[in-house]
Amino acid sequence: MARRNRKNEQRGNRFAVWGIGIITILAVMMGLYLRLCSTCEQLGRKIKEQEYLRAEMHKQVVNEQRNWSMACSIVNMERMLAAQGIAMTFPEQKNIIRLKPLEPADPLQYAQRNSARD
Amino acid sequence: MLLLAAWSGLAVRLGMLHLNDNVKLRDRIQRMRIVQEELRVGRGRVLDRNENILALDLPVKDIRVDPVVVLSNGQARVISQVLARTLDLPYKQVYDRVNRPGRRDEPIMRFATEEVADRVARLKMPGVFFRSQTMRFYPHTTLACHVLGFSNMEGVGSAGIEQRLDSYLKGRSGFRESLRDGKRHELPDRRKIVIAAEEGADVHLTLDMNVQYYLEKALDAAMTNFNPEAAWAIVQDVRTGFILGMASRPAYDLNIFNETGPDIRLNRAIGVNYEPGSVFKIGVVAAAINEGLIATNDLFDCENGMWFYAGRPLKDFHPYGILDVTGILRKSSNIGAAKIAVMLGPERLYRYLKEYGLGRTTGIELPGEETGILNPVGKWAKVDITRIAMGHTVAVTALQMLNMICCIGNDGFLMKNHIVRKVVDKDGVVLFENKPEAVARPITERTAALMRQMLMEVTREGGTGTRAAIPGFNVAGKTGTAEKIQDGRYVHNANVSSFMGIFPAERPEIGIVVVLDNPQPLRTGGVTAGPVFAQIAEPVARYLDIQPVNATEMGYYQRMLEDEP
Repeated sequence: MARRNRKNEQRGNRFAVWGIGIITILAVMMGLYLRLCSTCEQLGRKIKEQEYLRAEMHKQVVNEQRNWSMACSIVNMERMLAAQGIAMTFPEQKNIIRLKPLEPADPLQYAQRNSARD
Repeated sequence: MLLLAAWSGLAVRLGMLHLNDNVKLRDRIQRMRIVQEELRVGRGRVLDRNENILALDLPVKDIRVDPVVVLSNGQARVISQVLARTLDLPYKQVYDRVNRPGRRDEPIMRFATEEVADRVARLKMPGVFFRSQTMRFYPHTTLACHVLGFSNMEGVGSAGIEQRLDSYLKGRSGFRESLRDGKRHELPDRRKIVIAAEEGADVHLTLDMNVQYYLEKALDAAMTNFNPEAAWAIVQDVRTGFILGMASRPAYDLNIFNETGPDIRLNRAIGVNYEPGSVFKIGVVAAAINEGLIATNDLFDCENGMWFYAGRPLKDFHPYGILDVTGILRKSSNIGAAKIAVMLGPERLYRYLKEYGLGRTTGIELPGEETGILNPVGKWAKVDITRIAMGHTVAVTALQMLNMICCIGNDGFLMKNHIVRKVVDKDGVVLFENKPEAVARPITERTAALMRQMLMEVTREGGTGTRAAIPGFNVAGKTGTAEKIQDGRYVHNANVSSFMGIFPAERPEIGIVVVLDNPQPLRTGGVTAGPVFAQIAEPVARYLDIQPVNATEMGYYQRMLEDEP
């Protein structure tokens, strides 16, 4: 019976270890690659969704702005008031409560106001 | 055996595809996968000074059909009927579009609103598809139509503010290059180039929507009451030169601008030169007072309505004898004004007229502004000075005339006109902002105050502009009735009638000019343009909360006039 060549046996193990190591690294890298791909895809999908959402929101905002400006339109207001038989006029001066004084208290301030305009 | 041959063939083809270079094929597939897109953005909004929206871009959809699909399903009639009913279109019109064999893309309705498009989409008709678009929308239709202008179907500003500020409003399109999958869906994770689009900036005007409304309402009434060929008016803040309202009649709906002719689209307030008539006298009298040549109580012989100068007769509308300077303005005597102009002399008169800003554009941010006509002194005939004094042989725009009276209202300062307050981008950054800016001071503060005092008499009992008076306020103004030129001759019964005024006369805040082109049967400025002025001024004063001058303040201004030399 031939003696076992321990040296050769050791070399074979080393190859197996290297092989398994390389395969493991490759597998990890492939896994990472796939993971990155899927993350990118997910992010892309999210971007697309957000873009769509943004466009829809923008549309809504613009439509609301249009509705608001139509509602604020004096012509439309007058039409609505007329339809309800309401006549709207400016209030009497005595019915107006002012939160700040309208005119300067003494004539000197008129001069100051005028010079400020210059 | 046959199956084996087929599989073998496929295997060979697969091998060739993989092992050969196949550059052309690869390039073709790559080209098919690449998607290049222009990222379009809407135009910016136009707002008034209170942030009310006057123009905006609306998302809309074009509703289109693929006749090949519809016809192959044999549904042309049914789909045409449903579309016609849903979109309120004539059946024949829709069917003609659908029944076009071989065509892949036919428009059924352009610029349909989102709601209408959604209604059609819910019907899920095969062969009917949509294309997203934006459409310029003007919520107030005719309001400020000549100022706003419009952008055409391609989104290019083509009139008014839309044209002048197009570079700010239109923004900048972006660009994207990426790949698409087998279902022709874009793969967002494969984007190679993305250049973000820049949305158009918002333009904030100095216009006030409510002031504009009062202005247009009064002009509409004037078109009915006085039957002019056209009418135009401007409201200006005297202290800043900012335009609060500007309108022309006839007007048009901005949302259907293509149904209107260029004559109706013309902004007459700045785009029409006309001979101003007697309103021009204020410039001549102010210049003579400023030069110290005359005082308000100096007397002039108005020759009982007929005076010869340089061998040519000059007439007054009514004959007058002796009038003081205030009387010349109050009664609008041509002979009195002509005599003052002769005292002033051509060179000095010309210098003052240039300083008032005549003969050149004001530089307001609107296209199509006219310069008016003011010939240099060298081209004046001897008689011209007497004609210029009464507002003939010169041509002006309404804005130039308004500036003249606002200069009197603003203590002699001529302000630069602005209709754009600021431009703000989508991030809120102010790209530019206009501030009040004085461009000249042709007359002194005292001359201006004296002129205001005299012009108040025009709207009082005995003046030509009594119908322009507004309760609670003193109005300083002037009427004008110029004869129009037809076939090279002045025609007596065709006039340009106008009134311009400032109020409160003691410390003016608002200046208004009203011009009616050939009103009939009433023709003079005092009875036609005067009441229109009052119709605008009264609600504007209430809306802007302009207070009449009280006794204390009046006393102060009176003393100022008496104290100074």
